[in-house]
Amino acid sequence: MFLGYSEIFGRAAGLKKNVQNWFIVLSRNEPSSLRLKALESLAKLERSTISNVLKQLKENRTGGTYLSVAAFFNKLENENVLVKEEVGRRTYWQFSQEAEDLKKYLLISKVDKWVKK
Amino acid sequence: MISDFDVSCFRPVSYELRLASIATLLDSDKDVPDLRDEQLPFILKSGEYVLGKSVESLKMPANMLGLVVSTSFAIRIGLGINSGKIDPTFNGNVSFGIQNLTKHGIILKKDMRLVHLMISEFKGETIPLESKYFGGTL
Repeated sequence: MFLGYSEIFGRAAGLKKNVQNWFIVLSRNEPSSLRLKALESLAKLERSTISNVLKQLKENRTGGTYLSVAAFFNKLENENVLVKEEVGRRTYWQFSQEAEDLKKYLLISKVDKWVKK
Repeated sequence: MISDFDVSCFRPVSYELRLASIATLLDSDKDVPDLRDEQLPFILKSGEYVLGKSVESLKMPANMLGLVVSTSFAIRIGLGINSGKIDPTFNGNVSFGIQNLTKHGIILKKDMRLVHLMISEFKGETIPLESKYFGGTL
């Protein structure tokens, strides 16, 4: 039996099965280039507001750009990938403990290479 | 299993190996001809045959077999790829033959994706591999 994408990728990258499962979760939540880069940026920052994530990416921090990432992060919160914490008027985001492997993977991968331009 | 991989090289059921270096075959009276390393980019003349080596290094598990097949890109530009299987427990870079089947020259460049690596899991036990090409020697 020939190995498919997820098996070849998983074995090459040394991923555990549960990281592959997170990719399935990401794919069903309408990922886009901006959204995945925002997620990668959050992995680097550990804990951050969406505004700060967008600032790191040198993206517009208001309007549709902000709303798109906020909608994605909220969906990922429902999937237990991210957790949010309200501090005053600010909302801080970070990876959940369950998604720690995904965070580690995002830190070693180059997201822009697996996003279609 | 695949070292130095590029995330964009993963395909639905394969991995596209990138060209790292090539060597031309010299006339020789030995069983195996001598090789001369060439610089990339390299103009492969009509009918000329060279050996290519992949950027990626493989470490095949004992229950996996690799098959190396031509990419459609190589077929379209008129390159004939000579390749075969990669045995279980093989360790090293992948070598394959490249021949220009057209009447004009073809430029070979570094990181060109000329072959797919397909990996298959098999049943049963195998025997230890001993090969003079172990380690990815051209």
